[in-house]
Amino acid sequence: MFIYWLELRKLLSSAAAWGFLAVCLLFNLFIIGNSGNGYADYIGAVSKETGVVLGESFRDRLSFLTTDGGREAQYLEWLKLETHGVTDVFEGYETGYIGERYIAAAGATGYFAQAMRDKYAALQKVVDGKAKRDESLSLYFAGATYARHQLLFKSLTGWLTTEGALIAALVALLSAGYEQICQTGDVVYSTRKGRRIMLPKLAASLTAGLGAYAILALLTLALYFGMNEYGEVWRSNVSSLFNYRVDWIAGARPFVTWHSFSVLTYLLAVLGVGAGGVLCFSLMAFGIGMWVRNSYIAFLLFLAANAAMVAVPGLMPQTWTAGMAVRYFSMLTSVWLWLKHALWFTDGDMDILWAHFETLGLGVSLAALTAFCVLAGIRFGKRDLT
Amino acid sequence: MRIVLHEMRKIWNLKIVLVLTLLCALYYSIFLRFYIEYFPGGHSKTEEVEYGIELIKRYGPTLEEDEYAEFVRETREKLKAEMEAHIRSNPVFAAAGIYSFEDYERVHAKYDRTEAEEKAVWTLLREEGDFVRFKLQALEFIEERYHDYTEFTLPRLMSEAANGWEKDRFAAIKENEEYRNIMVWWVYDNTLDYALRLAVLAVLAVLALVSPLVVSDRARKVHLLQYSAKEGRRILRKQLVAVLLSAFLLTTLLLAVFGAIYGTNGTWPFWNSGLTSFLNHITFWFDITYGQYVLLYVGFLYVLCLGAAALAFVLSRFSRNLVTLILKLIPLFTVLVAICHLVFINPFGFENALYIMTGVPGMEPVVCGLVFIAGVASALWLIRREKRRT
Amino acid sequence: MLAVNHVTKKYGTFTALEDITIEFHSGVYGLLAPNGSGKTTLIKMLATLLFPTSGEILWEGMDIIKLGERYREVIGYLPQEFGYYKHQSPRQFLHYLAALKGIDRAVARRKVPELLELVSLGDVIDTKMRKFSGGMVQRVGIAQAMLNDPRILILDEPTAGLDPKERVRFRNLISELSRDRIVILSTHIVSDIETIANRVIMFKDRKLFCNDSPANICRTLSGNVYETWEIESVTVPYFPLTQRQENGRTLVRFVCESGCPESARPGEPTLEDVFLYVYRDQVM
Repeated sequence: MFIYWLELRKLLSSAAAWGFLAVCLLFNLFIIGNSGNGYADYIGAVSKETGVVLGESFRDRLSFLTTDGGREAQYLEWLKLETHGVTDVFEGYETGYIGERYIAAAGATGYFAQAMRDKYAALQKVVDGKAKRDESLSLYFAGATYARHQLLFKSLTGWLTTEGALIAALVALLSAGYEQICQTGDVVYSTRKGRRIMLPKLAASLTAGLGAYAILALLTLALYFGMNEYGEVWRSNVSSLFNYRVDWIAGARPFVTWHSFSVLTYLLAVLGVGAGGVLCFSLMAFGIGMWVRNSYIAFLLFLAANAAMVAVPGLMPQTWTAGMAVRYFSMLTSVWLWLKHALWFTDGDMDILWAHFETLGLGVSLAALTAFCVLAGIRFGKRDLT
Repeated sequence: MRIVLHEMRKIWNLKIVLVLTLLCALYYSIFLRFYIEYFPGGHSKTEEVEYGIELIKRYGPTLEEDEYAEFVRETREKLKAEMEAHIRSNPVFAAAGIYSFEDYERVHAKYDRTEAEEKAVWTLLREEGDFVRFKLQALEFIEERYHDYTEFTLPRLMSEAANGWEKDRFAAIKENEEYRNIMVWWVYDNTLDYALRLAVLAVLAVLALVSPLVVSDRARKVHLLQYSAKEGRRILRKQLVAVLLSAFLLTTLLLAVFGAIYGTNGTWPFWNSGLTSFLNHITFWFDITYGQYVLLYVGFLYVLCLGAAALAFVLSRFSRNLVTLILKLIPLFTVLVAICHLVFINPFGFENALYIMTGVPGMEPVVCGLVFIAGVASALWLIRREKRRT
Repeated sequence: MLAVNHVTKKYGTFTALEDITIEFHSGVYGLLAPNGSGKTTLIKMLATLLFPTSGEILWEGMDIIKLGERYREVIGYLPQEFGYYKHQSPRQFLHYLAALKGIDRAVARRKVPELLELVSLGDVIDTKMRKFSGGMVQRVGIAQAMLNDPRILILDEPTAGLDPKERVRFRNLISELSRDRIVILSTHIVSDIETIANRVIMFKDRKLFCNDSPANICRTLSGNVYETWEIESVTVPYFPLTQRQENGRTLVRFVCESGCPESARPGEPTLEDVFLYVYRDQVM
């Protein structure tokens, strides 16, 4: 435990890592600063009075609202118009067509086509449940929902995961390669702890990586929510009728999540999976760092490994079953999870075969990367340290 | 020169070169391949590009009224004949009550077609019909754009002009009839997207290759041997030269390889075509041709990459080890990628982000130049500083 | 007892050491050989940093690789190029290594200042090591090697960077320590071991050349070492060892196997003489 703390202290004393964290924060501030939305802020503010469940009581409270004129009056007009006569989008909504379009576009056959159909059959049950509970009759940000949702859950949390992954990977490489860099390997690896010091080093890397992600997320989101009014919208359902998603094949459709998420719980869930993703990249980098002595080449290989996981599925001929298998199973890798971060907890897109793909993918990736680290550790334990 | 060559040998470390080659191949696969494999990308884009090339072959880079009239007339007749040949030979048309070109066009324009009509219409939109209806669509598009430009597009653009400079430019376009240039949007757009992504790759590759030099020397305390030799601290000057030469070489290599690959797209016929064209959607500040655009792009890319290399050289001096170097390179790379987007998207066009942000045209070379100057100036400052430093 | 049994180390087709067999008991063992002869390879195998290609190294009858931490617990190692964390003080660095060596924190808190005092670094115990001279860093290295009171002390070129006074103190320290432990000292500075080593081990052509007391090794050249002020007058074949300048004249020490030349007088062979003579063929 003490050695773990000493290894962690080495990483915490890296001024360059803190500097990088600060630069990431500035970058996030730049994104937040350019994303003001007066209408959404107005809705956030009034939601405290109107509540977020659309219906008669909402309309009544809305009708009692007054403004001082100007922009606010316009916002109120828009809000009244947009929430007037809304109906539950999930009532009678059929999801089967989505699966068929994805199957046709991908040319999926056999097991894969069936898995896709099964997924949308399961989704139909979820949609029916949402219809019963009128989940789509939720205010969210009315007409500004799509923009706000994409800003937070595609742009901001996407960048947070990217930054967290990069810091975690570099800190892991720093830890794994520390003795090589300081030329203290001979002394350190010949002690009683010896090469097993890699275990506390790994633990320290994971801690530092997660810690950096947590600090970045906390500060970024504090800034974001400080500058953007959310009011009671926190309690809105993310599957609000105002929220939707678009892709080339299935077109525009409601934002359906497997579980029922409020904006708050969805954010927490996304941050949780993001943290899991950061862990994955940290493990990958540490494993590569144990394998390759030169930290710089290790980082380039880390980039190449992730790029290969993106490129290879696209290069496989989709007429082969193996090609299709590679394409679909590669969606469970950490890099594809990161690329698909805007679809976490939803049914995904034409590349996703399974429900809860983000949880499944995280589990598979963590298991595989842990095994990789163990193998790298075994190799490190057996090789000459010249 | 011998020392510079030695330093270059250190920079072109085999392991790094191999990993970089792998990275470039993967980058190509993810970001660039699309623009080669899917060019022009579907119909009627393919037909528009083909007609663009045909027009240039027949009439040169500009299309005068009489040439246009001749082309449209001949092509229309040819297409009509081709379509009618299909209609006569394929029973699917008779089944839908289509016996002539006019019949086909009437059915094509309908919203509610019967199944037989749908089948017949699509026959000429698919390979079995040689995509002939798309050819007609492309021709109609060319007709529409040719006349619309002077009748509607140019007047609208002139009325929406943001300032005096834009107004003057539109007036010049009108007077010189620059809109007669034959430059198909899909060609320009494809080249632009490919060029932008290639620029990002070049910056990434240059940073990755040249950055480790100074850090590695200092880590191994080789700098102590260098500084105490006859060459002394002048070694840094030679290292800077080696870094810049390597950046130049690598950029040349990347341009050669990925430029050659792009050459397979067959866009060379447009080399002498002005980019301001009735078939293009962007207005440019001067009568720049496609070829000049490519040459300017190459020039800007060299300047940017050399500046990036010099900045990496400076960062390398102030990094204790390779990991802290990477921590500094990532923000630099991010900024340079942003600069690539600002410079290389619609350069010298009214839609260029730098012009929109500053209101001043021609900022592209200024920004590239600033990166280069910042890089080289800070490198020279570093070299001077090092002379006194213990 | 530490036993090296028929150990060979190869890197691909290159053989660094071939069929080395040595037994170490208490006392000081000097590994004396030119650079590149395999000293550091053997040292690193003893420190578990390299693994033998064939053969085994046994500590009290058990393979050191299998023993793992139970073996590393009893060794103290000072590498040839001793690396350290520049931003740390010797106290901080030794505490870190104490943790790695499994030494209790309370024990470490007592031992670290004691050891640093022993190597005359008591005054700078909390000074950042980036300010240290090479000799001071080396002394930190010696201190860390003794942290866990090792039964086997492995020192690779330990006197590099030490001034003559420090070297003498170091020799005295090693002598004291060797009473009930194995001290393996790898060096090419003959004076480091000539007075304190119980046995000297020499390698030649990657193999073990000799493993004997310094006196016995010197005796191999008994009657063959001479000195003369007039080397020009020596006509029989000889091998020059060392030279000394005095009042404009040169005293040459040499080995001659064909009897005492006229202008020369016999000298007592030293370990350095044997070293120079044994390795005379090797390009260094």
